[in-house]
Parts: sequence; C-alpha cells; structure tokens
Amino acid sequence: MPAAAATERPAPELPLAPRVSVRRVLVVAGIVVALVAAVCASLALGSVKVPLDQVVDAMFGWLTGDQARGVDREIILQLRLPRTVTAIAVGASLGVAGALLQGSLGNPLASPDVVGVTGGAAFGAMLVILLSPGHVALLPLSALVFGMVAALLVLMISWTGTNRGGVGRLILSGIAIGAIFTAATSMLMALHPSRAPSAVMWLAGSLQTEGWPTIRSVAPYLAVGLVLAFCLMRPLNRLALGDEVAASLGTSPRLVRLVAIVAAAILASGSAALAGLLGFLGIVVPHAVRLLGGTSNNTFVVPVSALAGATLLTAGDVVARTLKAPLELPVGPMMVAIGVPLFLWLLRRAV
Amino acid sequence: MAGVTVRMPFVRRAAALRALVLAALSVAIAAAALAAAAPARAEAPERVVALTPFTANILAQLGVTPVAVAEPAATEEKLSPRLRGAQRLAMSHPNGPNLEQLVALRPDAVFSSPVWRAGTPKIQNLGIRVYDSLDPQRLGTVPIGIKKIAKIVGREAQGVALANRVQREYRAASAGIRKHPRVLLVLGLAQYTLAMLGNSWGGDIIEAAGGELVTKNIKPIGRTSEGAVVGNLSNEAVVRMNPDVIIVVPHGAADEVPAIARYYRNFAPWRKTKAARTGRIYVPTDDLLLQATSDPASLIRKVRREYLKN
Repeated sequence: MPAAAATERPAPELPLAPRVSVRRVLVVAGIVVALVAAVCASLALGSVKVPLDQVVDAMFGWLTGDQARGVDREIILQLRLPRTVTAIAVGASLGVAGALLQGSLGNPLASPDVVGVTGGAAFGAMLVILLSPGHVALLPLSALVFGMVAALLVLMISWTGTNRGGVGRLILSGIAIGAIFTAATSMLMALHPSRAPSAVMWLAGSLQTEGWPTIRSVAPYLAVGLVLAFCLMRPLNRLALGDEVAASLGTSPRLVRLVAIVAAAILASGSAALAGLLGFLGIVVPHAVRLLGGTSNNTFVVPVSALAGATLLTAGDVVARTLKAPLELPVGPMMVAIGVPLFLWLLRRAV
Repeated sequence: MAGVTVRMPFVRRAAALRALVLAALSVAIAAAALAAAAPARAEAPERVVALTPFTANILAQLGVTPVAVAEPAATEEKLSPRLRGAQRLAMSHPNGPNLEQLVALRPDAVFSSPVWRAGTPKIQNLGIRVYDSLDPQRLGTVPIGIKKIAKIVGREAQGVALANRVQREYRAASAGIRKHPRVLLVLGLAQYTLAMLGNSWGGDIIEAAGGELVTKNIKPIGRTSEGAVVGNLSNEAVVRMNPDVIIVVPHGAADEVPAIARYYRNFAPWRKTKAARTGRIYVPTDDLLLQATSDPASLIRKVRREYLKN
C-alpha cells in the first residue's frame, strides 16, 4: 500500500508537515499586518474625501445591519467595500492560481497564461466590449466562460495522444491555444477601433465593476477554486518529490496536475471576469512568497500567496484610484510599480 | 579738347547705362533663380478626398465636391446631400483608407484627421498633400477650421462668410437659457465611466447649451494635443458630484442603443445620483457629442431640447 508506506517513511513526510519556523511566522504576520493596513487604506481613501468617523460609522452600521442612508455611506458600502472585497478576492485567487500551476507543473515560469486562460478570458471580454456593447452586463460571464473554455481545450489536447498529461505537452498546448485567442482578440480590436479605449482599460486591469452584483455572480467559482487549491497543498508537496516518488506515496501525478490546472483555470478566469488581465500577480507572488519564507512547501506557499496577492492588489488599487483622483489609473501598472521593486530586492538577496 | 570734353560725358553715360542694364539683368536673373528655388505656392487642389464628416460637409458647403469621402459609421454625422455622388471609402486602422484605392482616385489633397494620422506620411510619400488637423477639437475653433479649409481650396471669401454664419448661428442657439442643470457626459464604453472633460468638444457643446459640466475643472491625464479629453472618472466622484443629467454617448451601432441605454439606466454605481432617480440618463443615437459637426447650432438646440430641457 503506497499510502501506508508514505506514513511509515519519515524523510518524505518532512515537506508534508513543515516545522514551524520563526522566519515563516514573521513573514505571515508581516503580510497579515500589511493586508489589514491595505484594507483600511482602501476603505478610508478614495477619489472623494470621506471623514474617517463616517467610514467607521458606515462599517459598523453595515456589520450591525443598520439601514441608515447618506451619500458617504453609499460611497463606502456600495463602492469602496465591494471594490476592496474584489481586490482581496482577485489578488488571493491569482496568487493561488500561480502557486498551483508552478507547483503542479514544476515550472517556475508557469502562470495562468500557460494554460491559455488569459488569452481565452481576454477574447471573451472583447467579444462583449467590441462586438456587443449593449450586453456589457455579460462581460464577467463571457470572460469567465471563455477562460475556462481555453483551459479545457488545452487540457483536451495535452491529455490525448502520445505523452499525454506530460508537462511539456501541456505548456506547448497552452501556448498554441493562447496564441489563437490572442490573435482573435487582436483581430476584433483592429476591426472595432472606435471601441478600443474600453478594451485597453480592461486589458490593463481595473477593479471598476458594478459592485456587489458582479461579485455575487463570480464568487461561487472563486470559492470552488480556492477550496480545491487548499485540498491540493499536500498532494502538490508529494508531486514536488518527483512523479515516481509521488506515485509510490499513493498520489496520482496526472490527477493532481489535472485538478490543479482546473482549479487554477477557475481562479484565473474568475479573476479576469472581475478585474481584467493582471497576470503579473500569478507569476510573481508565489516566487516572492518562496523567497520570503525560504521554502517551497505548498502548505506554506499556497495560503501565503493568497494573502500576499490580496495585499499587493489592494494596495495597488488604492494607489490607482487616489494618485490622479478623481480620475482613475489602471491597476495593473500600479501593482507592477509596487510589486516589481520588492520582488527584485528579494531576488537580489536570494541570489 | 572740346571733342574730348564733349565725348567724355557721352562715354560716362554709356558706361552708366551699361552698368544699369547689367544690374537690372543681374536682379532679374537672381529673382528668377530665387523663384525657381523657392517652393511653388500651393495651388488649390482640384481633386480632394475628405476622410471626416466635418471636412466633407464644409467642402460641400463651399461648393467643392470631393471625389471620395469616408464611409460614415452608423451613428456618425450625416453627410450633406451634395456629397451623394462622391465615392465612399471604407476606413480601417491604422492608415484610414486603403492606399491603393486612394491612389486610384488620383487626389491632389486628402483632408484627414488625427485619428488616421498614422497613414499621413504614407499618403504624403505618394505625392499627395494631407491636411490632418483641420477637424475642430473645440466649439470655438469651428470658424477657424472652416476658414483654413476654404483657404486650401481657394475659396477664402466663401469661407469667411460661412465661418461667420456658423458662428452667428451657434451663438444664437445659446440664447434664452433658463436653467443650468449639472451634466455628466460620458463615453458609453463597457463598465468604465469615461467622462468627457472640460477641454472636449462634447463639454463645449454642453456648456454652450446651458449645462454645467461637472467635470469641467478636472485636468486630463496626458496632453490635450494627443487626444486627452476623456478621463476614467471614479464612480465615487460621480456619486458626490450628483449630476442632474447624465448623457452616455455610445460607440455602438444604432440598433444596440436601446440595450446600452437599459444598461446605463440600471448601472448600480450611479443609482443614487439625481439623474438616475429622476430618470434623466440619456443615450443619444448619434455620436455628435464626440466629434466636430459642421452645424453646431443644430446640435446645441437638440441638446437643450432633448436632454437639458432648458
């Protein structure tokens, strides 16, 4: 029984049950503090000035079910709060999606782009924005559906024929399918140049949504993706020991890889549906977490990537909507401006 | 001696005459050489192509019929009936017209716009004059644009008369305003609030129609000359500005306008604004608030009558 063997062998158990280190505790504590600060800033700061006591009153009123009305309360509860929730959900989802893909494919460059999700979601969004602007309410759904369709196509191609389920086959299929969707997106933009400004806004990433209705429509998918991801943490650790060792420990490498890719595709598609393309988070956040924690253990990397992704996106969004207020800047470049120097600093220390 | 005294003035006169003739010849040769070296004064083009509705309609009003005009999009300004005979050119990014089709028309000049500026050098390389900055970006520059077009086609007098008439008409259209509602003018593109700012054509029209543009004091991000007349406005600011009227100009086909209107009338972030509560979110079926029209007076009257109700 491989599973029984796994429980009897102490050495492979190490990555499955990591020792609690002071460094990692400090990293988690630091990220949690940063996330709380970013959330507070996200609620307190915005394009218009709302006194802090009004922000606190509105939040307490929301928590206690108080139905009081007013412009400031409307701004906090119907605009800033859903936006903050969106930033947390999307940041966490993209961080986890990147961690899942890098962990399952054993490739440090893996991100939602690799499985075609980004290209598919962009095509889905452009279909609505450019071809049918009258049905813009369907934009999140279209991005979600086409992101998942792209991932499904990649999986179908890579899970058939010779060497099916192989990492190389999967990555190449993802690049091919992604290229098809990217080409179709470019063609749509070239054919409808007058509507290109909103396409550019979406591609650059923005957390400007309709608010709670959009969150409600996408949240179930993100919840499923996150639950799957947390269930995969230990199997991914076994996979990190190599396919043969993982198989000897009772883990099916192909099944783990398949479920990880499906979960990552759901998370990345849902994120694109809410906030456009923010691929940077998916590739950089898990690396930054590994460098900070000094470990590749997925029971650490996956949840902490969720926290770090949420922190970075929430902070980036605060900058994007306050720097040139009352006008907003796209959040993608802001997040890169904050995240890349931090990442390069970590990288330099690691090297 | 006498002969000498008699001949000397004659010799001097002859020498002076020779010098005068030589000098005149030198001046004439120099002038001819300069004239040959200097660029020839641009003659009025006979065969012109107009790629914007504004230039096409102004040319028609000046009595010049372009050999071809750009195929107008579904919601753009209607072309003058005088342009019925002009060939229609399909436009595509980035150049604008198909260059082979354009050359086949043998135009002397092309009236283009900043939108198609990427194609300007390519058309110029074909030996065709291109004017791509004549479409007015502001209401106040309409008369200037008209005069410039008229000068190029050699109809300056008609141009001045037309410019004065247009200016007189749009000023008259602003007369007798009774109410000044606060107006938000946005480009209807997806879920973003892309607001027209105070330096935009649409903003000028709203102000001329008696509206108070709520974004008039917001500085654009980027240079106005590069088209920075629209900004992605925060919905928090929209709620705080609380406009009386919101006008959403769609960039969609006319048949999509009802669906676009439904979307924006139920747009959750705007639901608390006075415009949403009083049912004053309007979605025009044309895009005249986005680009210059040759008849701004009619547009101002329409905005007053249909949207501002003042």
